[in-house]
Amino acid sequence: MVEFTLPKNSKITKGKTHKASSTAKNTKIFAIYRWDPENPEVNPRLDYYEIDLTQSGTMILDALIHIKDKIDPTLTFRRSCREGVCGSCSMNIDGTNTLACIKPISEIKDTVKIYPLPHMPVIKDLVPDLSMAYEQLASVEPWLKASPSTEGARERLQSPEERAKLDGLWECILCMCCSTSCPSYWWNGDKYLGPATLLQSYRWVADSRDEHTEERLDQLEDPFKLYRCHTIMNCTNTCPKGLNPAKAIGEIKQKIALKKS
Amino acid sequence: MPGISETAKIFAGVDTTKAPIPVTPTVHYNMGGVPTNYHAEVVSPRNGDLEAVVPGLMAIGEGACVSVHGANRLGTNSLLDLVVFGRAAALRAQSLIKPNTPLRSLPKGAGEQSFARLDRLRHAKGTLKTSAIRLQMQKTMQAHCSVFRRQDILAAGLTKMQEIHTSLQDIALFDRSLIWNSDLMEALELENLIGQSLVTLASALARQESRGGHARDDYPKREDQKWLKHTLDWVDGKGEIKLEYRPVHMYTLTDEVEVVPLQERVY
Repeated sequence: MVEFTLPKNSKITKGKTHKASSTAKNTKIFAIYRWDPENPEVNPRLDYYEIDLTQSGTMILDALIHIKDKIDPTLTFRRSCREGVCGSCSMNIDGTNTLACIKPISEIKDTVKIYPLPHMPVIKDLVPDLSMAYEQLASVEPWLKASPSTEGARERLQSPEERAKLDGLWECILCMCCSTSCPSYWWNGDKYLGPATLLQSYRWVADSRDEHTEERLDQLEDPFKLYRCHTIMNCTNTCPKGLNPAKAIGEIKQKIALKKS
Repeated sequence: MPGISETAKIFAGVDTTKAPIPVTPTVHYNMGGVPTNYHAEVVSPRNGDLEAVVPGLMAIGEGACVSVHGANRLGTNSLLDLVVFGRAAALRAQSLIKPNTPLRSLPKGAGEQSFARLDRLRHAKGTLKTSAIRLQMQKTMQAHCSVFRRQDILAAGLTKMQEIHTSLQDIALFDRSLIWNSDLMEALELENLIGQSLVTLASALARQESRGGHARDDYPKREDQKWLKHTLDWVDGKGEIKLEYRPVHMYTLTDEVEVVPLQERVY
């Protein structure tokens, strides 16, 4: 059997252990991925933080902030809204990509393992480099494209039925949990657009006010950009907002097929 | 409201059909900001000119204060900041800057102050973590400059905040790196927030009336005779505060509409 292992410099070593005070009764251990870009020759490591849960809030992000505030200010992660609307604190928690701010600590048994979003270049600790994903998003021109209204400065009206077609799409907060959970994206991330960008693209394909539907579909019809989706469904499984990127991708494929028939 | 009950369930573990939602006041927005005219150009009184523009400096959004909202900040006011003044700023910049104008040469040592600030914090080896000082600031503002205010409480808060400002001298940072140093970023933000807290307390203490978001238990009435004016604050590196005032514009920019007359807000 061929055995795949990580390249030498990616092997994760055991790092420091921070013990909670001996009087703490309700404790939990967090094992957190650390990597210091200023010492790139040093392998990434897992640091172990034992925290007193009575001193922390209920969510994983609360625990991370507790660690940064009270134990180790060098721990680095993105965060902003702390209520699941900004998409900054996406990371791999207990084996699943999700938002740290809406993932309750109580849902995880034993040690909480936290890694950055998988298969992305790491900038530092839990901060992945998402610039390629953002470039891909920009490539689908995710904004309303329509000729200037002929009736002067008026709203572009939509019927309630037309508006309903955007439900399940507009809620995406671009946390990239889905794209970075997708094996096709891991393998062909430079050419396959990935579920997050495809869902965003479909959000404009489905918009009754957009006048560039044909061009959008033509641009997506490509063996890599779109058809690397093999309906693995990790995207839909992992979405912390409960959206269905796989369905959006299916809708794009269907629209392209119907266009040809 | 399904959104509210969902939030209550997730963050407070409260089922809204069975129990009340715990509520506490918090900061949603900072009223006030860098004073600007309606072109988004920063104004700073100079030589008796109350509308003097700081050439080349503009401010928009929550950082700015065009003073169209009075002493309050109501829902969707941010749209005005974004849509109206964002556009105004772009139009003004376009009209002020002539294409292909060469940059003026920078004064000698430009940027050194910024580097000095960065390095002073990055290498800070005091005894107080950023988070510890920040918690003191948060507790002080919550206790002394909250929704309903009073002279003695505000005055005690200002004294405390001056002490917290002094305690910045003893700050300790642990991340000395130059890549994604969020320890440093939080410390820089803390310095800014303490300056912000100082001027908020000082202006609130001086303004002995109630107006908009500023509610004084000891001065519950609005006093247009005395207080129909904008507060201007300066805070220096030592935490010293200077207060001045600027009149409110009581005119419109067109003859199509009259200025809205002053009247007391009643509920």
